[in-house]
Amino acid sequence: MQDVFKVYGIIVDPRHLLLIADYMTFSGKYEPFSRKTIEDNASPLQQMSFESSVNFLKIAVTRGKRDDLVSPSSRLMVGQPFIGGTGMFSLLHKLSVS
Amino acid sequence: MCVSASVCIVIKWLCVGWCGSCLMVLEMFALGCSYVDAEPSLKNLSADFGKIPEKQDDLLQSLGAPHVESFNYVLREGLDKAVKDILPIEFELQNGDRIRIKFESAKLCSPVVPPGSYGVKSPYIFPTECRQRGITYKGHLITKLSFKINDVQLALVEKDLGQIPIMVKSDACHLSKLNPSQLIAKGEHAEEWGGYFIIGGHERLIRMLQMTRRNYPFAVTRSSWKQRGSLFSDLGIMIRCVKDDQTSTNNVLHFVRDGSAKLMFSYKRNLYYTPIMLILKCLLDVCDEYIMHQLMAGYEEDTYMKGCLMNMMQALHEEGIHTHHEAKSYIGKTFKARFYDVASWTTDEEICDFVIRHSLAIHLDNNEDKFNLYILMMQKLFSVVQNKCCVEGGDGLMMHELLLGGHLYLQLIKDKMQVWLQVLKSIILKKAKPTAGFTLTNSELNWALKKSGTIESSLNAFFATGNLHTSSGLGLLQDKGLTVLAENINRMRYMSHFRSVHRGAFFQEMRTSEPRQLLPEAWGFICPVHTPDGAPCGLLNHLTKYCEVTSTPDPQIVANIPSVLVSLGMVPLKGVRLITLNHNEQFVVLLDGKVLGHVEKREAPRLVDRLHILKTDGKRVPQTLEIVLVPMGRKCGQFPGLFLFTGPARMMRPVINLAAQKVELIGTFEQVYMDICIYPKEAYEGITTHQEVTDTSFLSNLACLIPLPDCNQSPRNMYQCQMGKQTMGTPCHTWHLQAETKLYRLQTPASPFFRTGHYDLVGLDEFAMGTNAVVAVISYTGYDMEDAMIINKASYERGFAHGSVYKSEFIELKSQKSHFGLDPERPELQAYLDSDGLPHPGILLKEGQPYCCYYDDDEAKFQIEKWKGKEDTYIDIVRLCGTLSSQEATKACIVFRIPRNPSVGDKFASRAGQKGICSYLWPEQDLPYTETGLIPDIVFNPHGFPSRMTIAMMIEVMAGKSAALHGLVHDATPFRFSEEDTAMDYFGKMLEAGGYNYYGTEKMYSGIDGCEMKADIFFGIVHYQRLRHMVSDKWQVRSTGPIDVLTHQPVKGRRRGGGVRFGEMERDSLLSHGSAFLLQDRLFHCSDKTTMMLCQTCGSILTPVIIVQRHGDQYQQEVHCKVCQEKGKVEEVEMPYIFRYLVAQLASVNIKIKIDVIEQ
Repeated sequence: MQDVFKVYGIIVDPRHLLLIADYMTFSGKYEPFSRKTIEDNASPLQQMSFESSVNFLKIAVTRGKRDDLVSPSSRLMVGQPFIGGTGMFSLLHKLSVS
Repeated sequence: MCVSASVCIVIKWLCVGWCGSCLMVLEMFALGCSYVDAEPSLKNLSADFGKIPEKQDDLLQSLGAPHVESFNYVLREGLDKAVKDILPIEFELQNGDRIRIKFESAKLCSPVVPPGSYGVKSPYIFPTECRQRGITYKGHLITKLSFKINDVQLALVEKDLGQIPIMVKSDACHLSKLNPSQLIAKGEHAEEWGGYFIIGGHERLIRMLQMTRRNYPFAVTRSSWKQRGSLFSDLGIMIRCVKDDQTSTNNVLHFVRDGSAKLMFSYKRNLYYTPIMLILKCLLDVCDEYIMHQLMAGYEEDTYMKGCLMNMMQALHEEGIHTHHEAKSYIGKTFKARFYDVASWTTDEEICDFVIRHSLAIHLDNNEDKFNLYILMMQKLFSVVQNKCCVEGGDGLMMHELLLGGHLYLQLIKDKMQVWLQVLKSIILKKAKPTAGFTLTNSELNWALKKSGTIESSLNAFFATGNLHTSSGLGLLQDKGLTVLAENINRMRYMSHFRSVHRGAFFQEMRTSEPRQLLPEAWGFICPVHTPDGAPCGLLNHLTKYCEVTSTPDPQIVANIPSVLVSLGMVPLKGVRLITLNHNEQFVVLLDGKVLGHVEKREAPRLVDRLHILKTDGKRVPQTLEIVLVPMGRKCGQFPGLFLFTGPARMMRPVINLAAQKVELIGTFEQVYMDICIYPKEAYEGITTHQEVTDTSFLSNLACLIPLPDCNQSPRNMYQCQMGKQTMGTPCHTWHLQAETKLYRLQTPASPFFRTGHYDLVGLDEFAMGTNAVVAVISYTGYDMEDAMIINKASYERGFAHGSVYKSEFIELKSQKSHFGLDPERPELQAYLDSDGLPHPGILLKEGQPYCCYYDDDEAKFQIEKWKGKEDTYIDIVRLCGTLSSQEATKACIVFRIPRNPSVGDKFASRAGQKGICSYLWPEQDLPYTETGLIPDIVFNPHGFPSRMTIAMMIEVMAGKSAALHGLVHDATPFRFSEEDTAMDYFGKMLEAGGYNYYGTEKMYSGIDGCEMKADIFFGIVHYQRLRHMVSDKWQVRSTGPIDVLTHQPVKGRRRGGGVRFGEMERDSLLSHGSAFLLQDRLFHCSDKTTMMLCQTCGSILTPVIIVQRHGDQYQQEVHCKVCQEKGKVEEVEMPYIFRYLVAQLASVNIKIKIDVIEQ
């Protein structure tokens, strides 16, 4: 992939490619970036916000699925910052009680 | 001394450089025509500039000509023909009386005031009045009806069908015969060319659409045809038949894969398919052998065709149809139920005649002619099927003609009149039904006529919206967007509206790019440069500058053509044919879809040459005759024949006939088989017959205004065509008489130094746009990245590119008892308004200030209109509009003038498609200056050149500079320079003669530290256009503001103070940056954050309710869950409102969302 882009003078950071590779292989086999793959996603809200919402809604309802509100899409839906980047951690303030 | 010497040199060069074109101009004058590329002149410096001409300019008149001429045709003969063609209504009353109602005549009258109007100076209504009052320019349609009861003719009755829009400058318009000074006296421009309608004060015109060429059978394949019936192939011969009154219908001869052919015809949007043999039998009362003989004439050796024809004939006999009369009654019987508006007492054979008259080859009156045409179509079909000739395809321009305003107008009136007759019938029948013994007396008739209404409103609705509602569809592929607003942003935009040609909205939806392609046959007719980019690319085209659209020819000359042809060697069909020749030894001759006869193969070229000569002179055959000799003998070429066209609405363009040394008009189909050279030296002896009138005649009016387009990368020329139309300039001279919704005006326009000859020909100096700017090509401040440009603040202060926007507003009172006036109870209004409730012209208006006060009778109180714009504005004109009847409510028109001087963020462009945004108004003292002390008006970033390759702009820098130096104006017409004699050399030498650097560069000094710059700076004068896109119209900002009722999210839209959408992709962007809290801020805190109740027990946000209870004299709020009642533990949570909406929506489909809360 880097070779493909190099022809056009575009340099791609290998970490982008690794990220894609990780996502596509984490289940143990090659998976495309598609509706099919997202069926294995744990977050029904993220599934619904991706594609074919009605279908995923139907599956989630009939199986009584639960969303733990960890995926970015589902967290945004309820107004929470996503877990990642600056939202990865929280700060504990030491308050001096006078 | 030095100065005079340099001028001498310049003049010498001019002679050397231009002698070629000078010769050409002389030659053209010898031919006595006006198709020249004149050189530009500084005529605005001459004493004659601005004088009112004696006569209108031909070139400018040609812009409106196709529209006006087609409308004049309607007035002259079209309307009469259409009225004759409107079907009479025949029906039977209960008492057995047979009624027949027919239109006898119709007349379109000029716009006049209603009878009995008092206080009017002149009974005529002129267009300027309609524009200023925001009304429609319309005239009465007076018709005469004849009634027959049981074949007893009653007296003719006159009926006014209402006032319908009249085309400006048509014969029905009061402006038609006026000369320039009279036009100015009537509030028009000297060169007004008309061609549009005025609808509610707006100028609208019927768009020219590309249509299939009329009356020519052409071979097409369409995959959708396979679905038309069992065994249907995708192949057929299609003909679009157009009658004299412009009614059109399609006939398709389909090839069916069992070797037969079926003819498609349509009636009222329904399609019918009949075996062709049945139709042929119906048309003429002849024996089978005659039909077979005619079909096979010239094709005797074609055994496949013969077999097919025999089978088709046999099939007919198997059905029991043997004779002409049997065939006719068969057709009549089959279609009786379908043709319901035919009187119930018509016989089967009469119905068959009706079908033949109204659906089959309707351009021909005679059954024998129809028969001959179908024979030809059969022969062509079998040639195509056997691959002897090729399929023609409908995308080429040679198969096209245009839909003209007048012709559509006529069709529409005809359709509406037909519908009106139906309405009249139903009114009479409705009255007759309950009344026993009803007879149609005169008083009943008058009552019905009064009740039947007019066609005024439906016609007005068509013009105002461009949407067509008809019973037949008028043979068009689209029923929307047929009229467009002739926007007058500047002269270029306005001009190009009249020359634009659209392929049809239908093709805009199509995925394929075929209809968008520029085919070689479009050369000279459609401008290759002037088409927008984006969705309408290649579909919205513009005619070239000399392309004409034919009008209806003189019928006497047309009637003369057959005898001319016979005298030139054609053998007429009825003539004695000594030997029947084979089809590849003779050409069939088709004139406007009528088979006239044959001409021998070796005779044909001579006949065609003679015809071309006769045509240039226009006495024996019309000048607009299109002569197409499709040669034979080519492998799988087009179906050969001699095809002649005289009809209206075809595109034609002038070329020089080299044999006759005269200008001849050629058509799109004709051109394909011609050899035309551009320059005499390119002509091949014995092959080339014609020469272009000028080498720029393939360009449109707008493309002809681009300086040196041959030196630019081609898309840049397209961009300039777009941007030229968005320039602020001088749209009109009648500032005091206009009431346009929005007009842009450049306060200080200038004439360009470097321009094409066409600039002067279209009189653009009188509607000037753009200014000459001193440009330094230098990357100077860092504020000039990405096409941004820097404007000199001092130039700005001196008035560089100053402009204003004019907006007109109509204040219409709701009822006639309402009136303008000052509210006596609000004396503070007197500071802004006059005692009549209207503002003083010339005063400054700020946001929120009142500009008008009136008494509203409905609400019985005074109302005030306040200025809502954010900008300061001036009241330019205040007009109280007159009315013609006391029923009309009063209207006032107020014109606002908003000053719009350049500011950071406004858009500018040179004439080479180089657009940019002003990024800074840079102080003059900090800008670089030349040795002579010149400081640039505009600093242009040199990085704009390499990728854009706009060499013309670089040449313009030099040309502009040298022109200013020597007091000249330079010709920027394309193809005047060559590789040997370059423009750069020409202008470089001229600069040198003026004491400047040959390459157009200058030494410059930094404005900041005064040091000399190491690099020489390219420095000169470029004509810059100020585009109408300005920040003041576009800025959008919001912190808090209105929210949507349903979602509680911020609304969108600049005008409502809404936000800019932060969409899914923007979300992804912030996600990938890991800016979690920024994202939360955008999507949650600044959007639809809401505090809501959540029952922790059942996990629902919908069930908690707040109950207000009264304890003594105190109210206390209590929250509890409706489901869990006391057990419920209700908490406050913050969540997006849209989430609650989602939960509620899911609840409505019985899906429950449970939310667990974890305390942190």
